[in-house]
Parts: sequence; C-alpha cells; structure tokens
Amino acid sequence: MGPLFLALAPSFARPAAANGFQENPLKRVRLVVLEAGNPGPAKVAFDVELEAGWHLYWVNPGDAGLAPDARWTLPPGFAASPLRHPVPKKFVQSGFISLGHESRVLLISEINPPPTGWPKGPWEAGAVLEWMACRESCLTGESPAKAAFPPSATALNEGRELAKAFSSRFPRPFSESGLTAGRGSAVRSGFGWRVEAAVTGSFAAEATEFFAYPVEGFVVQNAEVAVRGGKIVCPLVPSRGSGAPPPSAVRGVLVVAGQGYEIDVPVASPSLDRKLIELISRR
Amino acid sequence: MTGMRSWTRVAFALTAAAAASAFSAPDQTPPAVGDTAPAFTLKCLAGHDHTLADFKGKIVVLEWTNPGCPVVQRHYKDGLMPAAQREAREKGIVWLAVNSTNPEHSNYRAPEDLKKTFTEWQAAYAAQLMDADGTTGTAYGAKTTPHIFVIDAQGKIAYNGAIDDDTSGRKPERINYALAAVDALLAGKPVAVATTQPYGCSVKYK
Repeated sequence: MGPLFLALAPSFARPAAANGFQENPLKRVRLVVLEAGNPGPAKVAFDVELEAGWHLYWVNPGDAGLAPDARWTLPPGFAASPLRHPVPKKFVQSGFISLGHESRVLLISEINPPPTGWPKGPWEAGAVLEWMACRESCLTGESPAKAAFPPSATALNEGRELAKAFSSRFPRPFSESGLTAGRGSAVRSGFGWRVEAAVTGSFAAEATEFFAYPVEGFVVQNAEVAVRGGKIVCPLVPSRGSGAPPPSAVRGVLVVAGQGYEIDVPVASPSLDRKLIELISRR
Repeated sequence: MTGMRSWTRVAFALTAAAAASAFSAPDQTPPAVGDTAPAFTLKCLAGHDHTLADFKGKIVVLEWTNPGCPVVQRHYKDGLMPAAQREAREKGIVWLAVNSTNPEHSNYRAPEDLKKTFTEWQAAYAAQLMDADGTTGTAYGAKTTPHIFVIDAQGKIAYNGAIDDDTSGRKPERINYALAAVDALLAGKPVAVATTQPYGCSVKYK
C-alpha cells in the first residue's frame, strides 16, 4: 500500500506515512499573532493541539526524538527567531528520558523587520512547522500555517488572550526567581564532566527540576540531569573525547515552585586541569 | 608553601575525581567510547547466529534500526543509509543492523517482513540481527533508531551517536559521523568526533 497522507480540517498537518492508515497526532496547527510589531518585531506563535497521548519535543528532546523546526516564508529582509518553547514535561520510557509537550503548546517566534522597516501594505507570514510526535510509536510531518499582517483587531485580541493564558508556561528570566546561582564547577565524572552549580535563596528548596538546553560539543546525559541538595547537576560527555575541556557555560530552565526560569550558568575552568597543564608545560 | 597548597588542591581534586568516577559504576552504565564492546550472539533474518567475536580484528558498525520509525525511513528512502553501508562494505567494514523492537510493539516486524522491506530499500548491510528481548540494545545503551556504534579492530567502541549531523534531512552538506569514524580508524588516526547525540525514535524495548 502506498503512503497515505491524512489531512484533518482545519489542521494542515501531514504526517509521514509508514505503512497503511495512520492517525494524525496534530489535531490543529495555526499561526497566531501575539504582538503586531511595527515598527519593532512582531511576535507570532504556532498554536498546536495534539491528540491525547502524543507529545512533541522540546529544544533538547532528551534521549530520543527531534525538536520541531520552522521554515519561514517572509517578505525580503525579514527574519524569524528560533522557536521559543514552554517549560517541557519529562517522559520516561524504558529508563530513557524524553522532554516535550503534550495537549496544547505554543511555540513562539519573533519576526524581525529589516532596517528599511515594515511593508506599507498587507502581507502574510508563512511557515511550515516540521515536527516529530511520539506516543507508543512516532510520526514526522509538516504543518503549513500563515498569519496576516497587519492582524485584524479580533485576531490580535485573540492572540493577546492566548499569550496571557499561556504565559506562565514559559520560562521567565532567572533574575525573577528570587534565587541566586553560584558559578558552576566542572568535575571529571566517568567519561565526561559533571557540571554543578549551587542555587541559594529562600525558595531554593523548591527548585525541583533542571532542563538543560543542548550544549554545543557535548552530549547531555539527560537521565542524570537533576537538582540535588540545592545544586543543579548536569553531566556531559564531550563529543571530541574525554580529554576535552568542559563547556564555558550551561544554559537551561530551572523549575522553582512550578515556574520555569531561564538560567545561564558560567562554568569555571577546573583547577585540576590547570595544574596538570602547568605541570606538563614545565617539563 | 604555595606549591604545597597547590599540590594539596591537586590531591584533593584527584580524590574527588576518583570518587566521581567510582560513583558512576561502570557495570550499571552502558559502555563509553574506549570501552570494550559488549559481546553478543544474535540471529540474523535468515535465522543464523552471529556473534561479535565472528568479526574479531575487523571494524564493525552497529546500526540500531526499526523500519516503523520515520527517521529510519527517511535515511533509507533518501538512500543515505544504503550508500553509507555500501561505502563501508567497499572499505572492508562489517555493517550490522540491529533490531531491538519488542514483539509486542506495533512496530515489530517478523524477519521475513523485514527482509522484504529492507531489500526494497536496497539495504547493503552484512546482516540485520534480531534482538527482540533488547538485551544487546540495553547492553550498548542504544537509545534511538538510528543509533550508531563503531567498534574498532581491537573490539573497543570508537564512536557512539548519530548517523550524521543532519537532523532535519535538509542540509546540503552533511557529516556522516559513522563513516568519518571508520575513515579515521582505517587511517590509524583518533576519531575526532567520538560521541554525539543520537536522534530518531526511541528504541522500542519491552
């Protein structure tokens, strides 16, 4: 049997077919204007509704999966920022960790105008959301969506309401958490590094989860990422061998009392390595 | 005095590092790059036993696979995986696909069915091995389909991770990490990128 593409109105989601009939995990995908911009950047969001049991992936999908990505069709000179995700949920299967979103999720992007400014007449922001969704099995697909600019008052009002309703799901700046994070230290651990950073403050005990963003040149050991004893713990395996130095920073989302905060932890160079390098260089 | 303090710090750091290593007990975690590749005996689609020891002295590529996974489908239907398998074969490398899908999962396919599909996809591996109970997949820590392990001629894991750096399938130029590792081993050089984040569907273990 040939591939069967299933499109459910009003969704434009098209899952990649494997064999025979398969359902569409994305019930609806639409592009919503949250902020109209002009003269500054506009803010838009893919408003994705998933069928029960299915999940999309976070920017760091975890041990398996793929983060969604967007292909944009915009007027010349316009550029869209990478998708901004809400705080993920952790899914555990066979001891492996996946990080993602279920039910309904907003994926936000800023549309930045060129230096020449905004077009005078109406125009359209077009985008194709490329996604991988999993339940027991996985499907990939593409969902085209578009938004009209300038948005109508009704559309903009709806977008604002949506942004308001979903705002608590998005991470806030760490400075709003009331906590303080120490400089991270990197300790050799197995075949890589274990980055640790102490978090202090009145609500430090309520810091329960840390979700690490991908770290360039390292593989995050998602199953071992944790907040333990007031410390963020993030083990990393370097791509270029165990002799590689630790990263200069680890970024992620720290969950405190149910709210996510985006945190950037600078990592101090390990003194042990500095001493060894000094020792070797003296010889 | 300063030197003494420095050495005290070095000794302390060494102790801490040793403690940290001991904390991640190797018998509880899958092998890392440089470790001995776990031995296995698995049946191929024709029902014959294959062991890792059969390929002693050769470079072996293990590719975890599941034809029900859309990422695996893309790599085969785009011809990327068969091309990599052919190139490896021409270089004298043993390429084994391993299928750890459990028989109760909807993605499970019987050997005959797998043979038909992978023949249609022009797979050029030496064999596809059935690991239905997931023992071998778990021993290696295979997480995704595809997930690649390259084993050097001494039986050590030389590469663990993604097949390439093209998660979207849209990159005009991509790095095939498996072939890069194979080429480095054949040239007697260190594998530059030895660990990457594999991407794809989770392995459908029990």
